[in-house]
Amino acid sequence: MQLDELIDFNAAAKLKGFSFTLNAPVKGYRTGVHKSFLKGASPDFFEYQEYTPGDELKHLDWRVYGRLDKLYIKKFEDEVNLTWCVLIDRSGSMGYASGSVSKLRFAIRLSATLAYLLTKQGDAVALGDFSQKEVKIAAPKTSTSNLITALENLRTVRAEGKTGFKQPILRTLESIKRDSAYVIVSDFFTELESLEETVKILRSSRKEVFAFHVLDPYEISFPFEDTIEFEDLEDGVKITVDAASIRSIYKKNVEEFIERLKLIFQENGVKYVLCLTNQPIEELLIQIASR
Amino acid sequence: MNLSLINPFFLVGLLSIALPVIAHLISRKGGLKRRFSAVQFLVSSEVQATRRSKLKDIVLLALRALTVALLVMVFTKPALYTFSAVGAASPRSAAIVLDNSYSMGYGDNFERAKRLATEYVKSLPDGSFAIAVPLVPSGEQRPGAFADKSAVTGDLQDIGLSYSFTDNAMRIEHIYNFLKTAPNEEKEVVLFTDMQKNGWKSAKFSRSWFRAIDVAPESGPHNLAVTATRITETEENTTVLTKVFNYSSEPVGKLLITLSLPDKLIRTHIDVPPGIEAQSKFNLPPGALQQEGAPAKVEITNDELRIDDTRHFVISATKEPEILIVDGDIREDTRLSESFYLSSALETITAVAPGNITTVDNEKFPDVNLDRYDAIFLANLGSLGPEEAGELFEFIGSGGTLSVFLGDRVRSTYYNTVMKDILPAELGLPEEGAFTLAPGEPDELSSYLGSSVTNVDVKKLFSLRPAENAKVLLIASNSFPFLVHKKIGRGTVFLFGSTADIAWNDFPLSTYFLPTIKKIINTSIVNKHQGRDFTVGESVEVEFRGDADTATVEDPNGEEFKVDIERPQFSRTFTPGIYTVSTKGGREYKFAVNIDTAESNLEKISLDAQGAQSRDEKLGLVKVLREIWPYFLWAVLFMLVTESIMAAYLSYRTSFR
Repeated sequence: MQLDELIDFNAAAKLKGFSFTLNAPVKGYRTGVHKSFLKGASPDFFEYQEYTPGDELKHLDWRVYGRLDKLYIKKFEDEVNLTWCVLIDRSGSMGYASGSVSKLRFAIRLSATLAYLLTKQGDAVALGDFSQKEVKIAAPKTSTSNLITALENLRTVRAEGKTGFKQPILRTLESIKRDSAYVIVSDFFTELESLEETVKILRSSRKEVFAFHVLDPYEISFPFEDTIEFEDLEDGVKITVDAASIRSIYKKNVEEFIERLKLIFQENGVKYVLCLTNQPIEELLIQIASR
Repeated sequence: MNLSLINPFFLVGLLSIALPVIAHLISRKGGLKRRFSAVQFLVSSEVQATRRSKLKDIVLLALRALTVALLVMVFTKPALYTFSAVGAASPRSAAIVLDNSYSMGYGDNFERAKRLATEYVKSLPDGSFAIAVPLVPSGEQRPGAFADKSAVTGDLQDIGLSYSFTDNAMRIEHIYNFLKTAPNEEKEVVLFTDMQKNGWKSAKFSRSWFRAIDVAPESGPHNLAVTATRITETEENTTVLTKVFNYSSEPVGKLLITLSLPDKLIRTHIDVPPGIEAQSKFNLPPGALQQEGAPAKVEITNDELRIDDTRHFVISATKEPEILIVDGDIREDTRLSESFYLSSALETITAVAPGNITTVDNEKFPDVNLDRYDAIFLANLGSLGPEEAGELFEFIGSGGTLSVFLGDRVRSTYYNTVMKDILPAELGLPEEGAFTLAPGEPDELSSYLGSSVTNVDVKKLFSLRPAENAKVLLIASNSFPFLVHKKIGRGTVFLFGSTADIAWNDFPLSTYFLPTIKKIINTSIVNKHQGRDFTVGESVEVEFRGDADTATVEDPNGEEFKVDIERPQFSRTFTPGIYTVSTKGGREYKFAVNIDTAESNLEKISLDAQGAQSRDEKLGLVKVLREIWPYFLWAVLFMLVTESIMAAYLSYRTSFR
């Protein structure tokens, strides 16, 4: 398998020096870039704490004892690794492509590149795809070889089924109980009430969520002319319209949809990134990266 | 102003209007199909957008179809045309004569004549004067010609069809004389007519100031007319005889004839060969027509000229005719008298009662009151004064039938002088020889007698030179007419070139004598019936019954006219139908007025005789065309620009709304 078909190495190279971190501390079991709730193992000093019986003696700071004549234990801020659940929407609507790249292929490439970068920084990545009633996600791994296996599975993914979030997310929460961040790559063409409910569930589970909203440029600009019969990719609904005459109304509807989506994510502390399939991947990923 | 197409076959191109329609339907039905991910955003706005889309489609479709239609019209080269008078460059005074004789009622000839006449008036140069005149006079004539064209065209529209006809040449001369008082040096009389032959005495009426414009279609007119009805009552039955003339060149089969009596309708069918007067008899039980004086009519299926499809009559029982024989050479042996053979023949005729035959000699004749007789026979009358001749003329004019037999007492020069207005032929000298007879001009009698009449031997007969309107029924082998007849007023005169006895011929002994006398009596009976049957325009003498000295005549339109006993002539018989005469205290009676069917023969007079041009150009008119296709071309360009602007505008509106 040619990895560069799935991973945008150029984008990854441009993002060298950037890391993907969370605002809240996490519990990890290996050293990573994330701040850990478990203090002491890290060489970075965090604070002093008065000794109490039972504390390990090796953490006593003897220099402080010599100056203050009191026993203090040195506390260290430990940096641990994190588990990322990268979920790719593979519903029927993700199969749309105005050009050569469908939204699903773009979402996979974006996710694969992100997963690659996350693995590089030492995080465990669980890469999967989902539709309304189904989710396939591999166990989180930190090694690149495991990532390649996960990517191999994505290669054969086809866009089908309806868009839905609640069931797949709940199943993922059950299967991966580690402290984890969720990256959802989707067009979010679903009921926004249901989506908001799902987001609230994730947030109440203390999960950090990133939303990559993938759209085809034609879905924004609707540049069609003449009378066209449009068939929905998910439910097969057909509608015949004069494209030119409906364009303005369509664009207004899409803008409203995006605004509502942004509002929902903003209210729930979700990082939102609008992705057009003709945009460079590094421009999108950098929006959630930091130096 | 009329619209004409120079290349009308290009109208086929109008079918191309279907192209934008088909393109529209294809684009709507079998248009593009796309699979799309965000259909949910289309659904909410589809209804409004579709409505806008349909409006846009319809507007653009209409514009495109109109553009194609206009483009086709460019190729057909539309042109407006008017008829303009030939050489009508200088102002003139014109009499626009509209033929309103009833033959113009055929199809839409009369309306077409009005339309063409109106165009003609409009085409007259400024400064011209014109007057609209009906060919058959009706009502009062305008006092002069008018420069106001709208007044003249208004007068044209007011002219109505008459139920009669006139002497066209005389009328046109009269109109021209009237026109002489009008301004402008150049004068012309323009007749818009169907060129029907009746009304023209001569086919060569040609005047420099006269033009006739033929308004009738080219195809030969097809017309049938009811020409006569007659009721005959015998002991066996009552017969209503109807005559129908087929004036076309095509036979008519199973023509429906309807007899409308006061209490019943009777229908029958007859076949009418072309150019023939066919007869149909309605046989009724004896005494079936008891409603003396009641109106009735006979109708045939309507054709293009309806006015002559109906004939009205008043039921009138036949009165036994009163007959007078004036014998100029009464002998003691009655068998040698001229009157012997006549009275013998008359007595055998059923319709004649023996007591109704009166014989007088030459001397008593001046004392006889002729009014009570229906038929008079003059046999070898040697002496006849001018006064008696005058009475005979009145007798004939009022429907009487006069038969004149000649003989050795007759002096031709005297007869020619005294009875000049009565006799159907001028008398010459008698000639002796051995002659036979032969049928003369086609007639009911001559046809009946047939060629077998040659058995009759004639030893002596006068030379007769028939008058203009006379008809020779029998002719001798020396080419002398033997029997000539002529109608005068409502009456008829028969003139025999020989004697009523066997002195000069054996005709009275032949089997042909009785039918001939019967024909004469029938003619008198028919004439008697005509006492209640008049022709349009004929003057009717009103009978005043009881002590009344005024009478009221109600015409078929319900209009009433007063008639005074001192002037009993009623002349307003302009409308065919039943007229009712009522007098104060007296019983009312009716009479029928019918059209003169001479006008029913729609045969045309030769256009060449009128100095006419071809009909396409119309006589005296030329077609002036003004091509207007460039306007259509401009309209096409305008429509193309409009279509582009509308398409852009509608797209703009829908895109940025």
